[in-house]
Amino acid sequence: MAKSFDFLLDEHNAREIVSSIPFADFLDIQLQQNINGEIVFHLPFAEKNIGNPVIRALHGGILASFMECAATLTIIGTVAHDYLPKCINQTTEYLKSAKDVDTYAKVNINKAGRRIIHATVSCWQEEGQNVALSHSRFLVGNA
Amino acid sequence: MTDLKGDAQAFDPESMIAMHKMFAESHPGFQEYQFEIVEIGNAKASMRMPYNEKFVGDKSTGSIHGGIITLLMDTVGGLCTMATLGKMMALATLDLRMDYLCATKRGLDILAEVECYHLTNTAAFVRGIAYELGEEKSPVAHMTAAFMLNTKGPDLLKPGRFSSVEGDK
Repeated sequence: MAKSFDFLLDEHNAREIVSSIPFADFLDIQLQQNINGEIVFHLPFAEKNIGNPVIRALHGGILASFMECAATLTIIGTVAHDYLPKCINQTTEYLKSAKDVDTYAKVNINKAGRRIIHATVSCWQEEGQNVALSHSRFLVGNA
Repeated sequence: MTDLKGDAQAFDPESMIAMHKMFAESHPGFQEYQFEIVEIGNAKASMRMPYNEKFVGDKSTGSIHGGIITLLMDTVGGLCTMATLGKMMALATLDLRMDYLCATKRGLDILAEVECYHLTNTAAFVRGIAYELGEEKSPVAHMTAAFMLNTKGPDLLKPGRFSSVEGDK
């Protein structure tokens, strides 16, 4: 598993991929590696990500965007270096309200076909407690 | 109309638009998104987002990233739910599904139109389509979402909630 992430683990490659997507850059997505050698995406807290200013919860759309970007970046880094994957659809399930702290996400590619890639993303703020999940399908290649 | 318990606030489109404007001016995120309310009321709501280079997902075509369309749709969905309820209250998105029909074109604004097709005492079900506004209005994304009503949250209309409101009372 860890081997296929080599491309993304290179800090230079990672920064290059993130900056190739202006919106991922806007969200300021960072890449980290956990103790198991897996890539963890990091969304630093920013005031602009607040959706509900009174209870200071993150905007649901920001979480969905973050998870979509995380899945896109993983696909570029592991399966399709040459193509920008296109998201066909994404279902986001919100489990609890996200607080005004840093958010992390991990991507699992369930099936990497020739044309369609299915990915699941889980998103958490406190270890062991997911705040949101997403399931998405991406189109890769010249289709 | 369903009788909803809790301290919901009376709703009217005018005050909603004024409040959104106030919110958008004081919120660092919404200052950048530049969402503007086009229409509101009668179980429907729509918002327009101007094209912005910062939200591009594919530099080669200039097409907008799906994430920002999701963000727009989530916002309009919540607004539509409040319009349907005829009340302002705290909401939580339970789930949201986006289908991206095609890539958007460089330079075109996005218009999101959302309707609430079912309402219960505890949840609202909404669906909507995002259009790009070129020479013709053509659909680019479809959304369905469920919102939970009356979640623990703010009293949205209370004065002094946002930094731009003068004179906290």
